Amino acid sequence: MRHSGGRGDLPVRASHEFGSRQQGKQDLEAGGLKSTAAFEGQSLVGTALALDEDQDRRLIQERVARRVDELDSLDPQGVGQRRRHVVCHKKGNAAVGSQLMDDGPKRSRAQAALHLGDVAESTPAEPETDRGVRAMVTAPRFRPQNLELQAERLHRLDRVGKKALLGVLSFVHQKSLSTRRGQMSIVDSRASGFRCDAFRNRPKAARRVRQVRHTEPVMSRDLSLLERHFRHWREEGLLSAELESSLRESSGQLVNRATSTVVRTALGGLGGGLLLAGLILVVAENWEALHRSLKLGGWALLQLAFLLCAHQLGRARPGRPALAEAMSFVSGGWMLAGIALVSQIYQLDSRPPNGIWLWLALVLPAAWLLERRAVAAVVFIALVWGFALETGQIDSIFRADRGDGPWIWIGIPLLAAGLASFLPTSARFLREWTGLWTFVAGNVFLLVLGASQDLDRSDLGRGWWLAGAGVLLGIAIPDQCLSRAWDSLTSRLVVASTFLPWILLGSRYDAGLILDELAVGLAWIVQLVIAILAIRAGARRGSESWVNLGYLALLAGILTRYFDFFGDYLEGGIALALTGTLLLFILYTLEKARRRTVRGAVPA
Amino acid sequence: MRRLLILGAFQLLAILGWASYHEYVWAAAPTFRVPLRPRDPFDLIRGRYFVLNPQDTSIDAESTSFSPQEVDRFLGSAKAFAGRVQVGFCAAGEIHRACALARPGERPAGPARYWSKGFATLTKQDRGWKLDLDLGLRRFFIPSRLQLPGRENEEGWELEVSYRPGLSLLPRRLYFRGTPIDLR
Repeated sequence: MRHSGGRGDLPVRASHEFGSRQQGKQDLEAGGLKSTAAFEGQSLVGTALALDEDQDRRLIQERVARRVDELDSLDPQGVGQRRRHVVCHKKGNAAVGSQLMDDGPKRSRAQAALHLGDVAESTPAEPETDRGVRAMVTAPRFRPQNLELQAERLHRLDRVGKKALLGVLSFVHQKSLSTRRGQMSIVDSRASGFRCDAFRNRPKAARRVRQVRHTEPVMSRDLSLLERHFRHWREEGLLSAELESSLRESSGQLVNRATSTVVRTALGGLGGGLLLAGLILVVAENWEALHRSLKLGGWALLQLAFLLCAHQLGRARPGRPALAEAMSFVSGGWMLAGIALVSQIYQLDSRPPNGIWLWLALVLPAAWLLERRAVAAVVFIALVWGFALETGQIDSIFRADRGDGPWIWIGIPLLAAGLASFLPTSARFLREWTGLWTFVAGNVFLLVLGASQDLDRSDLGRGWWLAGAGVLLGIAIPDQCLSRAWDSLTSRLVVASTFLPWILLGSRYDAGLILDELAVGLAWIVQLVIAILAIRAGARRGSESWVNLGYLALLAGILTRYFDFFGDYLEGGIALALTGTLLLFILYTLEKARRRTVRGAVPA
Repeated sequence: MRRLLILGAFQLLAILGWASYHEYVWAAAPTFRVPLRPRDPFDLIRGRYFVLNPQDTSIDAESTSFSPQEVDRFLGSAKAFAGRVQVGFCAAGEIHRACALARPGERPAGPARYWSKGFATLTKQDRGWKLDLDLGLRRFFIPSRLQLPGRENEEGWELEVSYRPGLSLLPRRLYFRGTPIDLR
């Protein structure tokens, strides 16, 4: 990766892989070492190999290249597979980092130069060479002036072993490639102050190299993830070096920008939050002292500000609609605050649903005038809230005396989602919420009914109008009410089958009645069926979340059945051990099945 | 932008118009006081408030304000009634007490001076009758830091209400033993 310039503190990291042995050799001969020649006088490696400005580098390069030919015949594995190095630059600062990175689980072949000491220690037959190699690599103070001595050392590397030499060669090769491509400069003399001249001042250079060794690479999570993918793509042969270089540079800039954006957002949020909290505290402290006209005026100003913000943000940042949507949502909620404020000032007390219906009436025109999805969300919330309050209101036409079953709990959200879908700007995420709620609530009701025969009483009265309308909408227009990950058939099956046990059950469960016992048995089956339906639909539409959720429901169903059947025997140790074994087996089997399903999922 | 202005105007006019209407009621509507038996609860959402509990929400045959003749007139041949009614208030000293009932749409008659909307449940019992009235007077919000002149379970609490003919009463001010309480 190229140094980003400018700030000079961007951690730079590059990863390379040698191609075939032939390619590696060609790189070395054709270009790699040429580039290195222009660079090595300023580099750490140059120092490590005891090169200085007086040496005839070309001679050494030719020797190294010849060694490649020799090694080709020795090493069936070829030249090192992958190599990654991290270099930190700091402009105007001597802190330069370089560190070997983990090559992942497949790291097996050539070792980096810094590991040569380990190799040397494993070959006690050549103590002099060991010391020489280790010193060359790890001690920057070692700086032979004699070219012949340098060449002799390179020759002696054969005795150290092909691993050690491969490590050196791969390091040199990678540096040369990197330099040529401009991706990675291990030491940029001008940027970092690492010049060959600097090494004449040995203690200073040594200090710098120590800094190099102890500098930790800094990499964002995004870049780490990207690095894994790059590695995989390289192994698959999908990524050329040039493309990788371009992608790294582009992503590095993106991540850099993203980081600063996050910081700005965090600071902005913190500042705004503190300002708002301070204002709220001031208002709260003096609430009673404030005249009602001041309170109402403040509310009106804020409402106008929210609306204007939503409008302006939508125009100024069309690519980031979330901000405008958030403001629209806040303005919708602020309307409810206005109703509460008037009620408090004038001591008004009415049926609770009336306040919600007033809110809905005041917010509803925004669905046509603002055309924001957030308005649909506000309308959905108002509908669910209002209908739910109506079912609990004595004087309501939708009064439900008892709603333990799923009718009200699932019917009202379905009704609200169905109605909200007819707005000019509908919010698709409402379908996801409703689908998730229908699935989770349905599972809970079915599990509880199957296990304990509770949640069986329903005396909906006039609440049937709401529940029935919701269920009918869910079945009639599932594409507007339920999750997009579910196809129409799945949606209808989930809704219909969820209520099936309660249709058989009637108003309550009576032990001994065949139909009611059948309903309880059916609840067990239906719970598993809707879990499998969710897995199937998720796999077909490529929704990993629904696959996971389906397996979770499956697991919950199996465990509930187990404890339902064998819960009384859990006091004994054997029963506990069996339970543990069962759990492990279930987790293994289900996880294996889940992974298989996710792998086979067809992206939507 | 025009749509935004339309929406903003609609929402602000609705809320501020609603507030203005109540300002008008406060300014123009006649008022009277009804006796209370309040409680003083507090919750995190609503803050501190009185549960007003007007004395006339539960009346039986021992009540002096409601005559047995009025009950018989209202019920006629029926033994019970539950539904919306007009509640008449008669002066009893400085305060007013519920003293008459009329069915919705019926022309109120009798000694009552003010008639408001309410919900009544009236049943004849072995030894008299029992009337439960819902006058729509449930809560009265009071500032958390306000020092009340007496405990909420003491006698003497009254509520001044704004009277709107044919509509429900609106709470306006708290009184304790004839003295209004300044909430600010």
